[in-house]
Amino acid sequence: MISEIIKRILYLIPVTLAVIFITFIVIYSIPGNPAEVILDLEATKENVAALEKEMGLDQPLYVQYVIYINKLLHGNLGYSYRTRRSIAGEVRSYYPNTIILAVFALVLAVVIGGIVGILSALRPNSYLDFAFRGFSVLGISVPEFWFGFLLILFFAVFLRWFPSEGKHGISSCFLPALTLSFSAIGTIARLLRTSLLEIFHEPYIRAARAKGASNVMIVFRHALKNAMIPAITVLGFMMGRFLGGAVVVETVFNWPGMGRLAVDAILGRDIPLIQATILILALTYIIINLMVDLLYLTLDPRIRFH
Amino acid sequence: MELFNRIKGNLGNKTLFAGMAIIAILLFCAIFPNWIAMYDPHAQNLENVLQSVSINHLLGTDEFGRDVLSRLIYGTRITLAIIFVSVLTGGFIGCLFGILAGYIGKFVDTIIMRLMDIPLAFPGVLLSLAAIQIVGKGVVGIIIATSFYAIPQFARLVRVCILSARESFYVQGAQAIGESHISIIWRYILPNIWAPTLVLATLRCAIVVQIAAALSFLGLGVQPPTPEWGAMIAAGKMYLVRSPHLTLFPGLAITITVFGFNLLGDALRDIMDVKL
Repeated sequence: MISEIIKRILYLIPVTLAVIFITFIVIYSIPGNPAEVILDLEATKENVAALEKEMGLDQPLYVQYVIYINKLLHGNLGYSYRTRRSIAGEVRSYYPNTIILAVFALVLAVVIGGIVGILSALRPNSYLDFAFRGFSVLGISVPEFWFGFLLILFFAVFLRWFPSEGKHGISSCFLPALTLSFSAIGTIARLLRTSLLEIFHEPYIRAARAKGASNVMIVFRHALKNAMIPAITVLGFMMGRFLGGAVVVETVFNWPGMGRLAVDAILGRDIPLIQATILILALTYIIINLMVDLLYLTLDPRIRFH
Repeated sequence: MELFNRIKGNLGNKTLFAGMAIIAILLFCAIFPNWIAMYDPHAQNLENVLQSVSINHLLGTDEFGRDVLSRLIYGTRITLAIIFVSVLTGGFIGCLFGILAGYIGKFVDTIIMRLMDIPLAFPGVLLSLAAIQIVGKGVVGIIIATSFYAIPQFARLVRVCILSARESFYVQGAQAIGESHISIIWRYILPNIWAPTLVLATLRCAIVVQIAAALSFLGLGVQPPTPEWGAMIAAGKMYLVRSPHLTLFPGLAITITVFGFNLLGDALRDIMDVKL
């Protein structure tokens, strides 16, 4: 078990280096000399050379890569081309908002998806079950940004229950989180339904039934623990979807998070900011996947004792 | 051929039929938009802007007085073109890597599969953002961004199929009588990978439609005035309250397209008994 954990953590090192390398080469996407692009057109040759030196652009590529990693290790993400402010500072104010949204979306997906999955499994092939299953296919087919606009139209414009955009308190979190979690709700419900139905045929459930346990007791005391495992494996994948989806959903709801920061950076060709936002979101995804792997290890005794 | 007969024999399958019908209608719109659309998708009419649904304009008009339905119909062309080029490129390169990794094995396998892990370390949309920053906005950017992410998925799938085929008696027999590697791959191994790659490609189409639309919505993909669904939603969001039809109908078009590919993929998976 411990060697397994160490193996997974060690495996992160090459993956992280590769992810850093991909974000590192983004700087070469600017046509021409990055230093010239940053400085104004009337900059002198000396100015350009000085900035090149400051940015390390006169060094060979692998040296630049090492310098880049060294800066990252010191928490130095560089300065935004446009605002001239420290990117680390910007990230500190935007990053928590993205995490809040992703966690809220995860809670919604687990709670709603869980309830729907259990209800479907208790009454398989009922009208309720059919409705829920149709709903889950719909969930993976509806584009997130469009679903966000539907929610805005219905809940913010028509019913006026929630604000349509921005971040003012908990209520403004609800619509973007629901948008993010919509497809995940269907996935969790479907997985839970399938594994619950399989487990209902196991001898230990029949034994519980014979003993006279109620349906609710059987689900919560006996079946759910084992049925949850497949659903947990997809949680990491879902957090990845939420982090990627944040790019779109934060734009729709004008939510001040990393996704919108990334889109604004790309539209404004703000290279250091693009590098930083993509890197941080990707690293978050890697760490989340590691945590899910470890959670999975501790939850499933068949793996733990091997 | 056997694949074809399997599909033909299952045309009664409701899911398969519904999926194929949706894709067929979309294909028709993409190939012959001028037969169906009543207006030129670029024709502006500034006296007729932001009209709601009517007999003359079945889905209304946009902020330049252009007919929304005609723009949606012409939009299928660009969407389907992006999907097919992206999935074909990604699928082809991915299969190639998968065949190399699976058939040669050893260190080639290790190197290729570790390389394939890198794109998967990113959430899909983020990798597209990085790719777009490097390649530039537009159709080519979308295609490269989405096909790049497809490569490891196809490579992994094909590799597993080949590993199991390589152990089979007919491949070992062919090796024993001294057939060339190319001939073994072509005649005995490739027939095993058609079914799973077809299913993956279909499901992948559904994802590419969504990513392409999302990137265009963000202003990073297809640029206006080209009639693309995601870009249409981006333009229409300014008028969300006054003219919601500008946002609703293009989104519906995307949903139906994704739904069609998902139905088709699910049906093919069941018919060909593929585990994915």
